[in-house]
Amino acid sequence: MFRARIRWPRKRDTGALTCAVIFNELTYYFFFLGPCVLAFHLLARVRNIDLLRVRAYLLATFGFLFFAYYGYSHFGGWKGSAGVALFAWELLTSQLYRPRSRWCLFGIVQAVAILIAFKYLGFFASSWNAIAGQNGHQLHGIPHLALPLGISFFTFEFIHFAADVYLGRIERRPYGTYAAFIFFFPTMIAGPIKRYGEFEPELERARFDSALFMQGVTRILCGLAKKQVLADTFSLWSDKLATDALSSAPPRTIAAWILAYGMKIYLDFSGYSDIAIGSGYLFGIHIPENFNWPYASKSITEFWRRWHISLGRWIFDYLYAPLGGSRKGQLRTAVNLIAAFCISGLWHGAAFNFLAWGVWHGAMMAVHRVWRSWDGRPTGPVWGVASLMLTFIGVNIGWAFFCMDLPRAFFALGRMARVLA
Amino acid sequence: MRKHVAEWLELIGGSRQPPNSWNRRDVALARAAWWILLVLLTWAFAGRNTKFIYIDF
Repeated sequence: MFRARIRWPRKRDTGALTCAVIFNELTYYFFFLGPCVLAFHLLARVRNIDLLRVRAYLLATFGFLFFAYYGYSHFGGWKGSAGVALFAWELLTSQLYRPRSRWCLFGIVQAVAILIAFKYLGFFASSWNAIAGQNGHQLHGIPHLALPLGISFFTFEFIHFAADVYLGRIERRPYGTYAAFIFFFPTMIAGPIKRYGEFEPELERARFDSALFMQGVTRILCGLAKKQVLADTFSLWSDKLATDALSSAPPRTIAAWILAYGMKIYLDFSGYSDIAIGSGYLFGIHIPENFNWPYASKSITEFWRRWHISLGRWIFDYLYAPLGGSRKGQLRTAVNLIAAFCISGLWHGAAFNFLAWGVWHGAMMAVHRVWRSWDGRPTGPVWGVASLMLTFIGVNIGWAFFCMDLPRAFFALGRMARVLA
Repeated sequence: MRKHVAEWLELIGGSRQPPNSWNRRDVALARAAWWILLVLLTWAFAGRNTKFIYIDF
């Protein structure tokens, strides 16, 4: 009955995000991480060299090779590898940046334009064709470009650098160190999103620390286990959301699948971040944390301080604050929150379901802001447990939009809502 | 209670260093056993439909 009402999109159109892992391949450890860590620490024993500079070029070279190799093997052959030229170009132009200089603004526009060309042009064209195409105004010949590896993360780091130089927050910017920051391969694929002002001192004081090294190995192994043992087990249930089984599943089963997705995405992404952070520890470099028990949050605001922390910081500093933040009244604050989360949603993927996910989170944040300012709001331990559950439910409703295209998400949520009604 | 569980999980997850008061030999042995267990678990569960999911690069 449901199938008769809605045309199921084909699998490739569903907006499901999947990509090669890379961190679970032996090539990562034996050809990139291992040799680079070894060379990085051995360089400290060489006399009469500018250690910071040489180490920076070593990291940049390995990052360059990492991109070229995995771009070729996993992201579309030589076209995937050639993507490195784009980022090398952005790296070169960033040498023109000066405080209050127009080159910084050029760098931001350039980074956004490259992201739009590769990631959103096809989405905008297909959306336009769906809306205006019926009147004969179809857009034709829009090239479907293969996404370069890590483009979303590169873009955010380029924008951060250009904005911070413009505002005078970054003064020293030696080329090698900046190249190492951009091409630091453990964080190249999926973050955490670094800050140059934090990375440079870390690189400067990096030394072999056996305790940190052991901690790094533990973190990498735990990340791998989180991903392969736990997250992939939850996938066995959550993957059902992308199949025809959804149309005949009872509401409580749909709810269980969505909860399984919520666990899977947390274990998957935090496992990935663990491997990236652990890899940094092997160099003696601390990378920003990305997760801090997000499902233990008692409000959506707290959730965003604990979930994908590096992204939350970026959104706050480079989107929400420049839009006016909370300085211009309740209504404007709500609009700013929803706008920032819409952009964050689209950053996760070029599809309407991600936009809906952003609107949902922005709206929850706006509502929570109003709630927080109410003096008569309930307090106490019972309310604490209730807010924990409410936040968890709200976040998991959001995951329905994140993991399914809009018709599926509305169908799944509608089935569950009908039970409550 | 919740705080202690979180600290313990962070310790075995590598986010936190073991306290200096702990016997170093015991820590090394426990760590070796933990690493072996993690490697075996990861190896045993390898080969499923492992994909990275979150960002549409």
